[in-house]
Amino acid sequence: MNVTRNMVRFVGLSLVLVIALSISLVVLAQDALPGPGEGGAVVRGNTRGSANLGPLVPIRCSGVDCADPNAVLWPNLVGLDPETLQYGPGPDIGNTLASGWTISDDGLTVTVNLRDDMAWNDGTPITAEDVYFTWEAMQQGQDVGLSSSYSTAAATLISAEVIDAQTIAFGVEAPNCEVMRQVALVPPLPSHVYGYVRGEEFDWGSMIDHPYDDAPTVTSGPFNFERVEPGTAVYLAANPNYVAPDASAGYTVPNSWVYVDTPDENVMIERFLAFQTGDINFVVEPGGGFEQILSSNAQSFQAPGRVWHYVALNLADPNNPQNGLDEDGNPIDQGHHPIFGDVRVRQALQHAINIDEIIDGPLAGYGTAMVSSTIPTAYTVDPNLERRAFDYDAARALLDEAGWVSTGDPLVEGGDGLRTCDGCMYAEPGTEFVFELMNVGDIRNDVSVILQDQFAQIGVQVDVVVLDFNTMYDNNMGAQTFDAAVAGWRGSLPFEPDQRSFFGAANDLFGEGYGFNFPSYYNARFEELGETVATLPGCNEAERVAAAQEMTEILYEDQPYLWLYARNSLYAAAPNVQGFQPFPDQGTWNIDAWNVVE
Amino acid sequence: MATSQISSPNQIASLTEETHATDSLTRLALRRLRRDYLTLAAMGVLLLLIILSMAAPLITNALQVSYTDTSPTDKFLPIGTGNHILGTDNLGRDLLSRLLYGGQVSLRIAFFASILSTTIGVAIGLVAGYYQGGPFGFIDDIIMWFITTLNSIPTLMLLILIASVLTPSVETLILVLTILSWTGIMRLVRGETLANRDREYIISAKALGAGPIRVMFMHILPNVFSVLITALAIEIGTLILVESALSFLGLGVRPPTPSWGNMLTGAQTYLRQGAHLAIFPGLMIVLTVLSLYLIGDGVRDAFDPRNTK
Amino acid sequence: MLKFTIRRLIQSIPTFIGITVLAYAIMALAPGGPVTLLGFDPNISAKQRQAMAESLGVNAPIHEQYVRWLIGDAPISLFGVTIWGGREMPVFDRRGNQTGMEIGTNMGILRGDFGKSFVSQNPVTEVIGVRIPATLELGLISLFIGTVIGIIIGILAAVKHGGIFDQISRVLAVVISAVPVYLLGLVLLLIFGVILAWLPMGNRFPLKASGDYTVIERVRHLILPTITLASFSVATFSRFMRASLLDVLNQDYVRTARAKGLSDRIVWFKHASRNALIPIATLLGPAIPGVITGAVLTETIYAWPGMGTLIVDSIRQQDYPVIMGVVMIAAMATILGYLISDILYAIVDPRIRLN
Repeated sequence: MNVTRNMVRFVGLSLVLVIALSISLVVLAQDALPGPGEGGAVVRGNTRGSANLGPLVPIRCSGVDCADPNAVLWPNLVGLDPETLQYGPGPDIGNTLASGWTISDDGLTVTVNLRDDMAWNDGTPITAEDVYFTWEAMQQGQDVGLSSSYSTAAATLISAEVIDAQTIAFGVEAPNCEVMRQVALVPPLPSHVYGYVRGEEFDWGSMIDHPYDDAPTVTSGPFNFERVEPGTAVYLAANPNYVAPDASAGYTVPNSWVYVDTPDENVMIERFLAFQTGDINFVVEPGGGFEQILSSNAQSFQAPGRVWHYVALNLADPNNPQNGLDEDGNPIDQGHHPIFGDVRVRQALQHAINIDEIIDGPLAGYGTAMVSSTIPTAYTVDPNLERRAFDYDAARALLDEAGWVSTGDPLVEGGDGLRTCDGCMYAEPGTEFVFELMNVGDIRNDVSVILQDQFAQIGVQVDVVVLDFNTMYDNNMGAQTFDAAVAGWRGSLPFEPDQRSFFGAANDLFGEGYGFNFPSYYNARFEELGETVATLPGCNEAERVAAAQEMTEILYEDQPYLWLYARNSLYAAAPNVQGFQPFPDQGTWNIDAWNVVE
Repeated sequence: MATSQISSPNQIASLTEETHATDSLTRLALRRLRRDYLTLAAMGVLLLLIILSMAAPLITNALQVSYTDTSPTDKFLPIGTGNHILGTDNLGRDLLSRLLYGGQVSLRIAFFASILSTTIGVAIGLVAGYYQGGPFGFIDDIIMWFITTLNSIPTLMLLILIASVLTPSVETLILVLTILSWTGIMRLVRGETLANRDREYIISAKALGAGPIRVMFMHILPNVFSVLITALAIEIGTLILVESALSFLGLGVRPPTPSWGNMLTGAQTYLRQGAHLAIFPGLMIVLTVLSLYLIGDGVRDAFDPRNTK
Repeated sequence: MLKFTIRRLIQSIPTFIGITVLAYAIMALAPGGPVTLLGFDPNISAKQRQAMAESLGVNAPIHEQYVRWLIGDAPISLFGVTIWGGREMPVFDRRGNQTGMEIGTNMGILRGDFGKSFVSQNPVTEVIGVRIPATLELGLISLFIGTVIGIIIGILAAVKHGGIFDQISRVLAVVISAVPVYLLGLVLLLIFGVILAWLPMGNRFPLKASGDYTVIERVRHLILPTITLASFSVATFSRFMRASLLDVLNQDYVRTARAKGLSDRIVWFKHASRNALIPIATLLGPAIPGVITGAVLTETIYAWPGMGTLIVDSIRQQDYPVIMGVVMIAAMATILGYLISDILYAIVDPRIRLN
């Protein structure tokens, strides 16, 4: 034991020394900021197997994560403001081609105006032709190996017209207030590299075999593509011609941006915390309990993130799963889950969750409680809605009222005996209040274990079951035969207020090709509001926000999910990284101004 | 190098091919074992670990701790805090009781899987060896073809493949490890059967009217007993290592069910907050496997007719 | 000898068929498929996901998928004559509506086509191909070092049979085999990488955009993984060599040599060790697949870009074609390993050839 303690002490001491040393270095280096490409390498660690990267070219990139290298290689058509997380034009937002856009009154045409001062790194100007090329390539679908994340954008933007070199207009399938979300998915690609000329015949299949697919050397971002070392890393080198949004820092400081893959999370964190020159000096959302150790040893930034966890409850009869709507679009009566069919039971369970214990426990404080379905950072969040209070007595009262009565010995010290149905709505009398709570492992399993403890207090017995990802979704939740599951969503950026993907009847599909409305939730008013949020003529912001907030309130009352928390996203950089100033969900927005002191 | 560990029973086979126990040899071996203090110590350690694991409910009741109760206020308690003799883990659960219950799981998996695989291996090995080359030789051919096929896919890869398909639970792991480990024992028994079946005492037993089953189980089996004990001990140890390796790859016993393997893997995240969380499960694995290997070695040496000590 | 080799080669054909069936059967039992992982996105409609499954061919019956995996969909021609016209595969537009049928292009593993990675869309042979050198480099160096050190320790232990060195080396060998590989790797990494900071903590090369590495840099990256991987070969080979040598020493010709008054050193190293090495040589054959699989854990800890990290990543991403590719290559290496081992044995011991 002593050896370990000494080890820890030794590590601690060396950390202090390293930090002190780097702080003094920072002070010394302050007046002499290095020129473009003269700073050290930013080495980002990840454990997502990104080393088996497919094509980096945006519309073809379908791997787990080519999005990160993409963001610093290709310009955006419309950018995302790092502070507000709303779409905006360049040049205020870095590396963004659009200088503005207009949406026609009927909502069917989006006209995007482009900047005339952007060029590919070979000197060719970036024009509307490049955007048109991307749009036309997207329309080819399988022929160009279009990644599935672009297929909805390809289907929504039904036409495109180059008005002049700096203007392009898209025709939209149907008016939609979130149309910019799709427009943002049409990044310019260098049409001249592919030898494409608009209006002339072009062999789209050649995009797949083109050398550019493996080595995209003609790009336009703070970095240029250098090389990929399979199984190890993606190397990007500083682009000396890059024009930064902030003229005073109009150059790229880091000489390279290395995206390194480590198969084991523990090892990645140890490598990071050793702060060795040339090794990992930047990590993003490692999760898994490393938050505390990272924030106490490195520069770190945390904020409520987009990943939120919840307990999905099956509201419908699990023995007879049905779709939400029949062929004519009318809602189908799907029966009731013997336990969760009654809304009072669901509310009681919500009352029995001590979210602080969960956030302080497995999340080590790095989470933010959620009130309903809206993540805390969303612009539609309703400040007046409060989380259903943690209150065992309220929970017990609701369960008693719902006809679930405590009998026998307490399940845990000071708690109720196992509840059984005695006058409950949907179960046979005498049915025990026992259900399976599924999860796919990781932190969600720790959360399940704590929920098991908390629910036992009110006489509810939970069996925690850990399943493989596919088994849980394909065979249980997607099949709609499950009881309850601790699961998670990663919200889109910017926040999507229309949540019918998760709670809408049209997405209540079971079996093969299932939809994501796992609870089989249906509420007519909710559907109506969803339509308003999506297609309100004129897209008045205040009205849409009001509708979105009402949707949240309906979900709060109806409780198809038990609300848990949004995980905080965490960025951590080594002490020798200067210029590290993340915003929520935007850790590397100013990567071009970082300086790694070596 | 997991495969070299796994294939060790085969190596023992070739080293002990000449071994055939007789009663006097057994007595001699037992006398040797009684003087082999290293092996005796290993047996003692193993027995102690087994008893402690079995007594997990008694011990946790006596200490008034539980291996499942979480307590966010009590996480990462150091060794010797109150009733938590070994402290608590990242969810505030008592480490000692998790270690004991984890031992139950790890030992259960390894023991059951190796006993099952030994039973299957012995039965099939006897049959295959007995009929090899005769009119029923095709039985041996088919079995050997199947085994060659199974052994041609490297064991760890096959394990990874199966474990990624099945949802790992204690039962499925026992099943998987059994399926993959009976072949070593089978080859061993087949080899011994081949070596013994043409010896005089078998031929005379046959002449006296003993049927194939009687010959296999009453005459051949006792002669491979010492080899089996050795192989079994090493097998159990190897399976404990394999279970922990699978846990490291996220394919072992799923938490919250504790096993030494998944406790060790889970503890790696918290090396800086609580190194003891990793040290104890690691120690348990090493101690158990070491004891089993030493026992295996000791038994083999004791039965080795060339051993003159 | 040639006849023996050919016979052994023919014998491995049913084994190869058995492997394909076994491996495919296991994979076919896997729950769900790549569509769940790749298409788990509210922005992708159920119909688009269905189309994805159809075009990947993961909805077909298992036996059909197996046959497709073996012989592919593309037409088979021999000397310009088309023997088989190939199989038609559905084509979908971006909304997930079927637009027609087209003859497939997948050649099947019997024609050397392991398909495309679900994740990167690159051919599996290419994905695996770039990883093989790293695995071979680490595996062969570790095997060589482990064998040499193991044999030396084994000889020394046998020479001073029952002495202190013998006892210590035996106990150490057992202790090392009792330590989980990944634990040893992690401890070495913490000591030499984090605390002492003497050696790099992972990867095959330093992380330099330029890609110029010195020999010293490469050797430094090799040290920790090699020690981790070789320690188990040392343990195995030293025990085996010791036992084998003790066996030989009990044989008559060694006793005769000694009786003739030859010096101990000549007896030990010229006569005994040489003969004791014969069974060791046959261990080297099966060691080849060990090089591939044994490295799975070591590669994972040290982020070594070989086939081990590839299979671990692929399992996480449920990239079936890559998993199957790695397993098949490992299996073929194993068959080859046993083949070499048998041939070596046949060279050493001619009686085998007659059997």
